[in-house]
Amino acid sequence: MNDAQVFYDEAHIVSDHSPLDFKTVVEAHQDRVLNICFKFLRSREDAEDTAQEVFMEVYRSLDGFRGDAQLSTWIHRVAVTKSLDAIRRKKRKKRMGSVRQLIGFDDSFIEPESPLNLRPDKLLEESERKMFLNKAMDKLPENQHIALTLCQIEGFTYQETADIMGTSLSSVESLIFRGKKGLKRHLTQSYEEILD
Amino acid sequence: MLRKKHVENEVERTMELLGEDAPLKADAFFFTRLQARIREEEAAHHFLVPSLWQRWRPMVLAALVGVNIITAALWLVSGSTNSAREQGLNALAEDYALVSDIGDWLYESLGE
Repeated sequence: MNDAQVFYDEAHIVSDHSPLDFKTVVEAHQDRVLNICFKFLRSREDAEDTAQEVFMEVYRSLDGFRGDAQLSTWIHRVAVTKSLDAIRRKKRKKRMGSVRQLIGFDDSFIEPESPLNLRPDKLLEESERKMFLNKAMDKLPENQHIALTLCQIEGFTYQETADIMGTSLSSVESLIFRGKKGLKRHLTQSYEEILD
Repeated sequence: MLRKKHVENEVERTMELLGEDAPLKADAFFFTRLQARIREEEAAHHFLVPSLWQRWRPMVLAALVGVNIITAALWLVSGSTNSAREQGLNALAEDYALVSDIGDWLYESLGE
């Protein structure tokens, strides 16, 4: 489906909200939304669940969509918001789990992370690097995390990222610059800690 | 020195992984599952709103009646307080031989 087709469909949907039109919107955006959710949540199952929540929100709000933003920008914005909500819910659940364990309500055993050692004569595996990268991403401030995820990982242009985040182009440039700097700092710190 | 170089190397290699993941594709049943979820949610909503109203209606009505009774009681209490205040003022006016009732005074004045 080319861009013109998507725009035609988007205009059609705003004027006439029928199940067929909704299906067209979903099919046009489902892969992108799924990927955005996955990049934030890093689990296919959670990403699919959140992507469905995104389209349920779209379904509920299509009538209220005023058309002052491009439909795709709005859907991507909903995807980012829902993903961040899901991350917060997960963190809250994790915290509650820790508290329950601390006060003895939950005696399930949490396996400690296996210690990783970095040796000067041996390079890390790609999966290990990815793990460090994800941990470093999680340490970034939320705005830098979003900008880096959308722009560097998901491949949106700076302008598209600015539109989705509802900010200016220069802010996105600054967020990405500071995000990359922060990422390098956190990675250096982590690798120095595990170096033999 | 070797250590620093090694860390820098690892950091560079890790940074290169940004955006390296293969994109995911939604499966063929994504829309079917979504439709089912929307139907489920709508059914739950239609069921929930009337049942909530039916459950809460007696309590809402009782609360409204209660609010009315309390308002009436407050009005009566404040009315009796006013009349007590009025009695006090009249007694004071009598003590100092002041005109205690403007209505009577007017009536008498007009009668004359």
